[in-house]
Amino acid sequence: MDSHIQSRLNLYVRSLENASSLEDLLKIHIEIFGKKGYFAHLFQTLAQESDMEKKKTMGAFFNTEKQKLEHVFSKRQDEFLQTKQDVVGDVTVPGIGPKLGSMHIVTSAIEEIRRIYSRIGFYQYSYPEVEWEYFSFEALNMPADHPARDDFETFFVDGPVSKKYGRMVLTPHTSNGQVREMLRLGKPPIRMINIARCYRPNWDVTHVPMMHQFEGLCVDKGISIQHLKGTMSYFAREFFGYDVKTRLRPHNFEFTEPSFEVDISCIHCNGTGITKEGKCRICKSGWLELGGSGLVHPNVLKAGGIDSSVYSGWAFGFGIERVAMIKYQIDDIRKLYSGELRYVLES
Amino acid sequence: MNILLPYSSIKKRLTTDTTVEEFQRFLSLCGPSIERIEKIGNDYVMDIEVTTNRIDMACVAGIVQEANAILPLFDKKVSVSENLLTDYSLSQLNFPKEDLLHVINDFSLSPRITAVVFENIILQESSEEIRTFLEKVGVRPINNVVDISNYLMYLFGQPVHIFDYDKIGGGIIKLRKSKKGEKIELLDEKTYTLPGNDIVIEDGNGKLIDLCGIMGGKVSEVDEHTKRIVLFVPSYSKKYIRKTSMLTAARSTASSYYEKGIDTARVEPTFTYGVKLLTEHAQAHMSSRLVDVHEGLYTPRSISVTAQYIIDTIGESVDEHVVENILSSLGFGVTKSGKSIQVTVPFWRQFDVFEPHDIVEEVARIYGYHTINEVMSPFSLVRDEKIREFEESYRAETAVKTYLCNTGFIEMYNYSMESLEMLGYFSSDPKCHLRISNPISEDLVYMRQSIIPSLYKNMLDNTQFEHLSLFEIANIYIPRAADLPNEVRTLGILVQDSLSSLKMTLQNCVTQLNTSIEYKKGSLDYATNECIELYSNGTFVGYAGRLLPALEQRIGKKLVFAELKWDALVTRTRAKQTLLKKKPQYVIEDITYTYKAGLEWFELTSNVQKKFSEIQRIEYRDEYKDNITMRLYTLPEKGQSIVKKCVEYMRNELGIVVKAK
Repeated sequence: MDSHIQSRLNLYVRSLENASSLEDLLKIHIEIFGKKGYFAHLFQTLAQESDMEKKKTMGAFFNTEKQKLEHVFSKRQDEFLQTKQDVVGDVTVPGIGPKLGSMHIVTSAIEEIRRIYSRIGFYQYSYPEVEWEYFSFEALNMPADHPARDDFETFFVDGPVSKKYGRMVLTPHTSNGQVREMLRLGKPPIRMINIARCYRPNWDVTHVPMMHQFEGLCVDKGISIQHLKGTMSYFAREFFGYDVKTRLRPHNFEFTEPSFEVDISCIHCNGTGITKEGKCRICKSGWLELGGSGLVHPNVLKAGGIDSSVYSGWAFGFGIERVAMIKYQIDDIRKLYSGELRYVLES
Repeated sequence: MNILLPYSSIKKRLTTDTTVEEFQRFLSLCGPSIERIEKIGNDYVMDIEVTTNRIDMACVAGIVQEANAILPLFDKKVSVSENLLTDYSLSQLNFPKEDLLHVINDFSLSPRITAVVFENIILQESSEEIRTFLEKVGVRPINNVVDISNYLMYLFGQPVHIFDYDKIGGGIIKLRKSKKGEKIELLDEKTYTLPGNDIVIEDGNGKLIDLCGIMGGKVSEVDEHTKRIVLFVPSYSKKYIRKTSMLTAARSTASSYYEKGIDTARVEPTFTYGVKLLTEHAQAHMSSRLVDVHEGLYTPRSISVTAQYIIDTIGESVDEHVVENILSSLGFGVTKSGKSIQVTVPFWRQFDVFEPHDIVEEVARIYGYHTINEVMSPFSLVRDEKIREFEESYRAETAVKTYLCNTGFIEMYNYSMESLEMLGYFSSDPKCHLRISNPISEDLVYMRQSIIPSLYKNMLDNTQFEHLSLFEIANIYIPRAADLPNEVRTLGILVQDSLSSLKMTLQNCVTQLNTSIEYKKGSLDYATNECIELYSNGTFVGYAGRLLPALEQRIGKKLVFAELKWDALVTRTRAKQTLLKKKPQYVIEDITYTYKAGLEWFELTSNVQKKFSEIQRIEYRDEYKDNITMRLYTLPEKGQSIVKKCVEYMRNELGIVVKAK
């Protein structure tokens, strides 16, 4: 046997065994088994051998050696493929790359409110924000001398005046949708929610000149205070949590009779009015006001072309900002529309 | 409005076994909200919220009446020992004949005035009871006479004024409307310039001595030299009072009563009780005849209601005796006639009880809203094509918002109004915008017709942040000739980036809506020439482009914008193609050409596609300077390339330079 070949093969065994990385190993593999590799060379030389006996012995020898080397190679390769390499540095540092944006809190609240009402068969629809006085007031049983209709409570808009419907206003509430929806559908049943921008000329810690309200309107045969209570309490529990209690208190709105203020038990002091720091600063004696509601006033049904001796209904109107501020614990309503991103982003 | 009352003043007139905490809880559930209770010495001060229609409750008399009706339903014992509203009347008094006072009234300004002159008054500190009462409700005690007038207001809910008689010229009290610009100094020692049409009192010398319903004049103030006074108990027309207090910013507890409208009947017990107090506490005696000028007084209204109507409205059965007890304990007269109940309305409820449903409210609230069962409203499916369209539009909006937020955009909510300054920045004509008639700030005057200026303002306010991407979806307001404005739902985007990257965002947005978007060259006042019109299936849907350098400079960043009309875009959307359809084996080839002005991408590709029906789709690949590479997806007959023909067409018929293939 050619000792030169033997020592070469032995060298390859050692190289394979000592390869320092998978890349090295593959390089050596090519050197040995590649098209222009050592074995290719050996078999080429063998082909020219004229001594048949020698050719046979050599051939068998080469194949055995080849298998041995293949074996050494795959063993070493397996070692690499199974090995967990050490890493340099801390693998637990946070990643960097493209950042998420953010949805406005009002959008999130709207989405949640929609979902809650949609489960019980209420559909959403929308109505004008720039509205005739008629739909924002007269149709809602609010006569011309009502204080809510003066310059201090309602924004008026320069522009055409309708003989039938009066001046243009920025609607101060979503209730303008009530009579519009009655007229649009023609007859009950109605199961509407209206989520929209409303405007009032106030600007302080708890008031912004533009806010969002959501309005619910249910008109059908046999609708009573029981139904209003059931639905208000359903919403409060779904939105704020199942342990939240609801109560109705007497109130006064022109377009509902009876009218109620809807309160929920305070989610910060669990309705006790007291926190670890002392008196709860968020609620009044354990209760938080959500907004107004009531049975639809017969005059409003009449304005909507609905016979109040056959049908009755309930309605409510809550401020989205109000419920969002309660739920997400926002202290100053103006932050919602200041456009200052420091409330949203870290600088 | 909120009012403070000491609990002791209620207990003095109402005997009950209720604790103050129960009192708070029960009244809040069925009547006025007692928002807070504060312990002061042996007493409690209640902070009570009263709704505007029930100003009659904003006094001791009103709370006693409510408690009398509410507490029995919680199994509490009550009895009223002094009914302030019904126990006192003018017939209990004897007046001298002297004609010292002349009141010249205008019933449109004041439907009732009662007044009398007292002489020999002794000014001193008030009694302990009156003084501590006033301190608890937050009124500074002054002297017995002034304190009595304030005390009466809290007992009866009827403001009272006391003049120094000797400071009223000729003993004449003349009510009239003020003229614009008239001046008067009030008791707060400030001088007010009147807006006009305010109710004022002029004396015999023509000087103003009272801004009615708001505050008395300084000139007729009671002071240490006062010997004779006028007890003056008037009603006023509420609309004048509200306007005056809003326009002059002069507010008082009296004005907050008057502007809600007080019945004229309570003038009588207030006046009578006032005479009693002044006689007792100022050793004074009346020295003039009674002045009581009024128009027709209230005659009790009668309303007929059935028990069934009450039951239907509440949703559950209420015993008829309970109904009757509730109403009579509130002071309503109740008589039964057949199936219906005849209810007469007492004077203190004349402004809020008119119809059967008003009676239902009284019964229901005292019966207790808290005792009524909670029942879900019956399910009813409302089918309507418009509702479906709305839902579709909302769904699309959510999809786009979610996409934008997931790719780093921040959603903004801005006011719908903008300033003249901002309109100027964007070269918008204010005359074409709807304008608020009574704006409260220069920033909020014009109804916006674009979202971009609002987002631009957001950029200006947030220059400390790098790489901002902002968007907002909201209505814009396009005026119409004789109608409400067109409210167009609009998506606005403003981003510190390149137009190319913004276009990719737009394309991805419309992909969420299963539609496509095409660009044509456009022009806007506030954009550079890098400006495009946006089309979806041939319909114009908006603009995109780069802001003018003048606008960019203020922020110091490159800014590109896009604005899309939401409804135009969403009605173009179509159902997504099924994914199961097998994709054909396209022949895919690229052509690189040199841009020729006037033949922009959309026109060029439309032309090429129209010419060769084999072309299924053309994709934009790349751009280097003005060389543009497009990729053709074709289904040629027999698998033969049409690129050669296409290149010839572009060269020969469109006159475009195409790189040799």
